[in-house]
Amino acid sequence: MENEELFNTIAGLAKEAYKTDITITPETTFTELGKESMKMIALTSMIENELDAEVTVSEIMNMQTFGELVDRVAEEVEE
Amino acid sequence: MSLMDEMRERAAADVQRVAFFEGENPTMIEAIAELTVEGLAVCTVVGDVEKIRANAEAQGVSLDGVELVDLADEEANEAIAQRFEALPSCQWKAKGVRRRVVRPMERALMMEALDDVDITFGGIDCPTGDVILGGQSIIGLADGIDTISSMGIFDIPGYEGPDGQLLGFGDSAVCQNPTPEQEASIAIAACDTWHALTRREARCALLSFSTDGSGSGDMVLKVRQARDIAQSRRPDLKIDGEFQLDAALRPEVAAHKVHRESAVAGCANVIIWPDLNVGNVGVKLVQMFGHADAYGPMLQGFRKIVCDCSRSAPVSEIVGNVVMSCVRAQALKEA
Repeated sequence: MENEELFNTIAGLAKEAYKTDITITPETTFTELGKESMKMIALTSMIENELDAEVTVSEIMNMQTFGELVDRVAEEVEE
Repeated sequence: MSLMDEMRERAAADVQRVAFFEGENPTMIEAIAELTVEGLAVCTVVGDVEKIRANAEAQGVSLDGVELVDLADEEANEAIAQRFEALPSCQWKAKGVRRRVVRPMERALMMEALDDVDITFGGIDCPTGDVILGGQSIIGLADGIDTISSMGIFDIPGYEGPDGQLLGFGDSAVCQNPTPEQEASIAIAACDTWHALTRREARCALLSFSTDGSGSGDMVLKVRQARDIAQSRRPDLKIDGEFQLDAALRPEVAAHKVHRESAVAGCANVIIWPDLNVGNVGVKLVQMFGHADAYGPMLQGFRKIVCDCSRSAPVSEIVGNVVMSCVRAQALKEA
């Protein structure tokens, strides 16, 4: 999957997990999205279910931007 | 009889099933053996059975009466995976479930989600954050609760409160700066935890630097909003604020500062800190200068009982925490 397609897929999952309509860009921060752990749990399970890529909530909590998450998922998907 | 002695009797009278996932830890396996010998819990240990047995032998304890769940048993792994993925609460597809069924903590939590055990207990070898995230993912939050939090009970020599020397407090360990919804959740969970442990009704004060509007600003507003949310969600509980500490605990101060009816002012037996700065410092002040002991802190807010222990917990503390988890699990079944 190309990175733009991957970005759009993960952004779609994030909107569903966070129940938001905000425009998500690679620079969108997790502070803007929200740091509620239950929503992060929902996002990580959606990513794992749809993309077979396991990224933990602990990892996301250390990320600043949405772009970092996409890069991390891309690494998992490439393996 | 002390509160702990009373809880030990209650635990032994209606034994609960506890899953442990750190059976290779020397202190944990000693605690498990003691709980079993004393008849305080039915213990199941999840992990590498050979290593667990070797650890028990090295510590000179018997595993008689302890169930061992072998993560190398592929047939058993598949059986529980199928049961777990059928749960409406399961968040993962088949592959994700099978990834987790062979991980000790996740397996223990899955067993609890399936009602094969009543409690999941651990944390001596892993961070509290991992236990919390695992519990949130697999057990989930209780109805009406927005956040996991912690609660403890002080035993303060010389304190003459409405419940003698005992005073419940939360949250001193988990939520840094709770929103009004989160603070309400902390208060609600603390009331239920207090009642489960002490069998006494909670009178829960939300603390502030203000009493009933004597102060103002966002910090005070947050506590008032938390009070309103808590009272709306659980009108059966006695939760009130915002109160300064003395207005919460001392009848003569409440009479002077609280000019309305309150079932809590002046007679609180559970106090809720507005944030973790206050909570962490507050606990230490009471312990250092009040020479208090503290039961817990215990995690609360999950749909079932998930308990985390400190990395340096000795056997006696682990046994005590399991006992408290067991009486909480009993109360959950009665609710």
